[in-house]
Amino acid sequence: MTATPIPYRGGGGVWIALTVGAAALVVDIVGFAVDPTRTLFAWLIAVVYVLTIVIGLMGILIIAHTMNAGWPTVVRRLAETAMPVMPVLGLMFIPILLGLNRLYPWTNIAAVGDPAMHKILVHKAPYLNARFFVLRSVFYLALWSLFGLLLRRWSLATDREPHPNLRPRLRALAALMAPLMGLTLTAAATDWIMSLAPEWISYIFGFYFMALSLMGGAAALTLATAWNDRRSRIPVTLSHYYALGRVLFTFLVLWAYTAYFNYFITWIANKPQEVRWFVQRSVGPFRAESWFIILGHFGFPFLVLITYVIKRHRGLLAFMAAYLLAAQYFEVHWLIAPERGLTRVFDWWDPAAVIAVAGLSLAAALWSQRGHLLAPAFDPRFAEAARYESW
Amino acid sequence: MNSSLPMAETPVLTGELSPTMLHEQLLSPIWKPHTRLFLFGLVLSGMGTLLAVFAITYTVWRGTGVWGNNIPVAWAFPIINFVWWIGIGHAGTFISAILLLLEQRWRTSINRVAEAMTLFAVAQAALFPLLHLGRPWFAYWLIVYPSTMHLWPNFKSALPWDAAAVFTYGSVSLLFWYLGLVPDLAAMRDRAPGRLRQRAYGVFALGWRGSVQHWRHYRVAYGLLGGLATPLVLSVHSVVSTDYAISLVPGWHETIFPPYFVGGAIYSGFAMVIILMVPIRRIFRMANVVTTRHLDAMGKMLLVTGWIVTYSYMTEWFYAWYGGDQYEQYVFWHQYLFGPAAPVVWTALFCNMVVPQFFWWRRIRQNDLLSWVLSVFVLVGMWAERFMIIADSLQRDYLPSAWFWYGPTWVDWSIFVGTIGFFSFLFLLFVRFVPFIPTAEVMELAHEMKKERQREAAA
Repeated sequence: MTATPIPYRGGGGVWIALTVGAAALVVDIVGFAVDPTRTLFAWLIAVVYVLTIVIGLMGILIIAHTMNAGWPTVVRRLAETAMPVMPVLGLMFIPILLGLNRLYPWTNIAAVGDPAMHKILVHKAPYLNARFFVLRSVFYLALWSLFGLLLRRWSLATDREPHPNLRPRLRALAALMAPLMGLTLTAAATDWIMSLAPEWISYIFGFYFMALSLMGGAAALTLATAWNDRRSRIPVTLSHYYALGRVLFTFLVLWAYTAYFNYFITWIANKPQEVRWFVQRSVGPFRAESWFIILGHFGFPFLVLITYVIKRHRGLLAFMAAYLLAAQYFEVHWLIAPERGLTRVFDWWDPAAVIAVAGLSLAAALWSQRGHLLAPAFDPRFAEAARYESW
Repeated sequence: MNSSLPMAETPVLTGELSPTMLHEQLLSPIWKPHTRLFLFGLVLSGMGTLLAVFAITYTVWRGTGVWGNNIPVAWAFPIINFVWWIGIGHAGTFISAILLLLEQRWRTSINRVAEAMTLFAVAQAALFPLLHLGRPWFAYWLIVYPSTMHLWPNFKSALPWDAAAVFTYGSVSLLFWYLGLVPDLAAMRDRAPGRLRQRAYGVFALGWRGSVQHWRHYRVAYGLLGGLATPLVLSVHSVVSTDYAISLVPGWHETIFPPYFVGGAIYSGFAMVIILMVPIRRIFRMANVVTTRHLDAMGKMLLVTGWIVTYSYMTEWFYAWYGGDQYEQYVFWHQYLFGPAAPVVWTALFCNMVVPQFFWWRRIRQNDLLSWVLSVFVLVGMWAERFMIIADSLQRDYLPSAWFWYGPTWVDWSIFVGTIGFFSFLFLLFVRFVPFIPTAEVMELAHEMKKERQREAAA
C-alpha cells in the first residue's frame, strides 16, 4: 500500500479557521481595552496552551528522528505542518511582552508590601527583570522557530526528489536539538508560568511542562491522522493507530507521573513557601478545576486508553485525542489563572483568546501546507513504514 | 509484539550461521570445561564474598557503631551503596520490559545478561537497608501483616515504601528472568552432555516441550510480565528518591528527584551492562550476536540518560539559587563545590556531565574497549553522586554547631568491596551454568531476519 502523492490543496479549512480566529481576535482587542489585565491573562493561557501542542509535536519529531523510528514516517508530515505556527506564536507573544507589568509581580518590586516577598524578589532581580525576560523569551521563540523551520524544510526537500542524505541529516539535527529543547523549555516554563508566583519553585516543573507538551502533541497528531485518514489522504492502518495510542498513553502516564510527584513531594514536606501554590488551587474557586484535572484529565483517559481495543479503533481513539486536547486547555488554565486572583475561575475573555490563538495558528499551519504532500512519500523508509504491523 | 520493520544500519545479528551452528555456539559455553581465567575470577570474587560475609558478621555482632555513620550523617555508606546497586539493576528491567514494548530488536541478545545483572544487583542492594536496621532480625516489621500488638509500619515514612518497592521489583524481575529461561533450560536438558546435567536442567525446565500450546502461553505470560515490569522501571527508583525528597534537608527536598533518580539509575545500569557484556563478547567470541550495533545502542542510551542527569544537575544548581533559600544555596554553591567532599562532587560532575558526551561519536560508541573504560567512569561517577547527595548534604545542615565531617571505616569499605565481589561471584556462576544469551529468542530473530532478507531479495 503506497500513497498517491497528491499535494494538499488547502480548501475551505484555511478560511474557516482564519475567519473564526479573526472574529475572536476582535473580541480580544475589545477586551484589551475594557479589562486589560484579565484579557492579558487569558491571552497568556491561550498562547501557552497552543505552544504546548506545537512544542509537543516538535518533541515527537525529535524523538522519532533521533530513534530513527520507522512507523512515524507515515504521519511525520502532519507534525511538521505545525512547525510554521511557531513564528506566528512568537508574534502573538508580543502583547504579553508589552503587558508584563500586568502579569508578573516581579516587574514592580517597590510595590510589593510583604517584606519576605520583597526580599525574594530583590534576590531574583538579576534574573527576573523585564529586559532579561524579554531577551530570553525572544531567544526561546526564535530558536524553536528556527528548529521547526529546519525540521520541516529538510523534510519537504524529499518531496521534490529522493534525497538519501536527508534522513541522517534530520537525525543529527534532532539529536542536537534534544538537550537544547529540554533546557530552553524548562527556562521558558520557569519564566512564563512559574514566575507568575515568584516565591514558588518546583524543581520538576520543566519535566512536567515537557511531559504535558508531549501529551498535547501526541493528541494533536492522533487527531490529525484520523482526520486525514478519513479523507484517504495518508496510508495508515490500524497498527499505526495502535502505535499512536500507545504513544498517547505513554505520555499521559509520564505527565501524570511528573504531576503527581510535583504535588506529593510538596504536600508531604509542607514548606509554606511551596504549598501556597497548591493551596491556592485546592481550596476556593479552583477546587473543582483541580478535581477535573485529577479525574478528567488523568483518571478517565487512563482507564479508556489502557484498553487494547480502543487503541486500535480509529473513531474512539480520535475522540480521546480530541478530549485530551480540550482537557489540556484546562490544565494550562489551572497553571496560570489562579495567579490573576481568585474571584472568577473563567471569564468570557478566556474562550475568546483561545479561539483566536488556536484559530489563527491552525490557519497558519494549513495555509503553509498548501501545495505540499501530506506524507513524505519519497522518504526511503516510507513504504516500509506504511507496511508497519504491530499486534 | 512483533515488528516487521527491518532495522537500518548494522544488523543486530551478523554472519550466516546455520541454525544448528548458532544453537551450538550459544549453548556450548555452558558445557565446555572451565578455563583458568574463570577459576581465577571465581577465586577472586569468592574472596570478595568472604570479605563481605566477615564484615557483615562483624557488624551484626558489634552493632552499626562500627560504621562511620554518626549524627547528623545518619545515612552514609550503606545507603549510598544501596542506591547505587539498586540503580544498576534498572537497566536489566529497562532492556527486558521497555525495549520489548518499544519493539527494539537489539534487546534480544543482551536481555538475559541484563536481567541476571538486575537480580544480582538487587540482592546486593537489599543487604544494606537490612543491616542498617541495626537489628536485621526484626526486618519483617517492615512488612504489613496483622500484628496482634497492633503495630503497623509508619505509612508516612518512605522506608516501608522502599521495602515494598524493592521486594516487588525483585520478585517480578526473578519471574521475568526465569520465564525467559525456560525454553533455553529445556534446550540444555536436550543437548547437554551427561545424565546429571540433563536431569538437573530437566528439573528447572519445568516440563517444557516446546509445543505450540506452550509457546502460546509463554508469549502471553512474557507480554504480561513485560507490561508489569515497565512501571517498575520508573517506580522503584522514584520511591527510593522519596527517601530524600520528602524530607526538609537542604539538597534533598526537590520535586525533580524521582525522574532524576530514574535517569541516573538507567545510566549506571547501562554502564554495568557494557562492563559485563564486553568481556563476554570477547571471551566467548560472540561478536556475531552481540554486534557493534548493540554497543552503539547502549552507548546512545548512556548519552541520553547522561543528559537526563546533566539536565537535573543544571536544574538543581539553578533553582537552588533561584529559590532564594539560603540553606539550599549554601549546600549547592558552597558545600558541594568547595566543601570537604568537593573532590567527590567534582568527580560526580565530571563523570556524569562530561564523560557521557564522548558517546556523541559513533566511533567511540562502537569501540568496545573505549566504551568499557568510559562505563567504569560512569559507575564511579554515579557512586560519587550518591555520596554527594546522601553523605555530603547531611554533613552540614541548618545548625552549624552540629556540622560534622563524615569518614567511612574499614567495615564500611569491606562491605562495599565485598558486595562487588559477591556480585561478580554470582555473575560468574550464572555465566557458567545458565545460557547467558537467550538462545530461543536469538534463533527466532535469526529466522525472522532471514525471511526478511529473502523477501527483500525477491522484491
